[in-house]
Amino acid sequence: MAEDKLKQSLAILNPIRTVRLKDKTGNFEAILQGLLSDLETPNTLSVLLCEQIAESIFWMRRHVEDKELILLEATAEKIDKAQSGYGSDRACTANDVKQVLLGDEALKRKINNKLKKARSNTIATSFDGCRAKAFVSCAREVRIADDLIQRQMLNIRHLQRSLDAIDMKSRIIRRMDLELERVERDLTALEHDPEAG
Amino acid sequence: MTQKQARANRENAKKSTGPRTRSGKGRSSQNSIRHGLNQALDLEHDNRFIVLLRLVKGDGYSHDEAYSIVSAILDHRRVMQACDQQYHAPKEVFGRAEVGMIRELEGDAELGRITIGYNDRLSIGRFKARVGRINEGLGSALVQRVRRLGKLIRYQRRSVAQIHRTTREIKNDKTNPFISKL
Repeated sequence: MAEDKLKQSLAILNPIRTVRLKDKTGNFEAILQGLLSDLETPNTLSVLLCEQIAESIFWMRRHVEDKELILLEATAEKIDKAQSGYGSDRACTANDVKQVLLGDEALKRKINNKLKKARSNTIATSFDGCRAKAFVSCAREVRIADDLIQRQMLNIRHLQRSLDAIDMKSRIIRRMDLELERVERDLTALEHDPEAG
Repeated sequence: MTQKQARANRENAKKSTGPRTRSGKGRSSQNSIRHGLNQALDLEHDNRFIVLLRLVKGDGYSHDEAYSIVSAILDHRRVMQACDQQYHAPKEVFGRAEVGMIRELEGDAELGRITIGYNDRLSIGRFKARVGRINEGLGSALVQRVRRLGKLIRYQRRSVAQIHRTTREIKNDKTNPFISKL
């Protein structure tokens, strides 16, 4: 049933696709197909709005990833600066920081030892200290990323309401059609009522 | 392209008297436009708009309803396409050409083709440090991307609000006494 709905929706959407993203992961298509399969009465407007909602969800994921990466990169940069005095040669990467945050205690101890031994280290002598300094240094960008995520949430909410409004309109039109059919049926029933004459 | 060719190109470009053809003038008139999101949409010449308008009208919407909602969606598309462009834009680097030229000069000096004096070396060092500081301020590619996207938030707000407003007006049709009686 859902597959039929999806096929029906894709048949309407494919010739008029408006969203073209450079997405190699296939995430956007997965989100879009999920939304389209839930559509009750697919028509041009509803599939277009679904496409916009799917894009907003996709963008929200992108912004969340960016926000996480900003914090990881800033922490890695602080650790590098603390270790060597320069941020140019990357001994610690964002991936290393992620591993530590995911619970790699051995790597954390290794970084802490290097930080303690580092000469002319004026930043911090521990991983957590570097992380705290990184949070402060990239606060502005994190705030922008938060604003972007918030914007996508509001976009989704507005588009969802728009979809509801469109669906309401089609439901009203369908209801009107049914009412007209009933009136016509009643009218013919009256005309053919043998007891009426 | 070598640094010498790039220098020659720049020198030749200074002698240019600008675009001559109508299409060239049209193209150069767009040079200072960053994203063009404040400009009105040119719907009359947009085939996509014409097709969508026909399809939406075919679903039972009036011409005015279809026109307003399709134009609102296409305006939103323009904003989101600008966001996608900004997302994939290359990293901005200050003084890339100048640093390249300095490297070339330093290479020549190492090979003994030219001699760089003490004062020139000091100036080069100061210039490199300044470029480094400016590039540090510009941030990584990721930070630049987030900053660029942040500038487009207000356009997204405007375009989505327009879609919402248009569809709400369509929904309000149900307060029409004819429909509400049903």
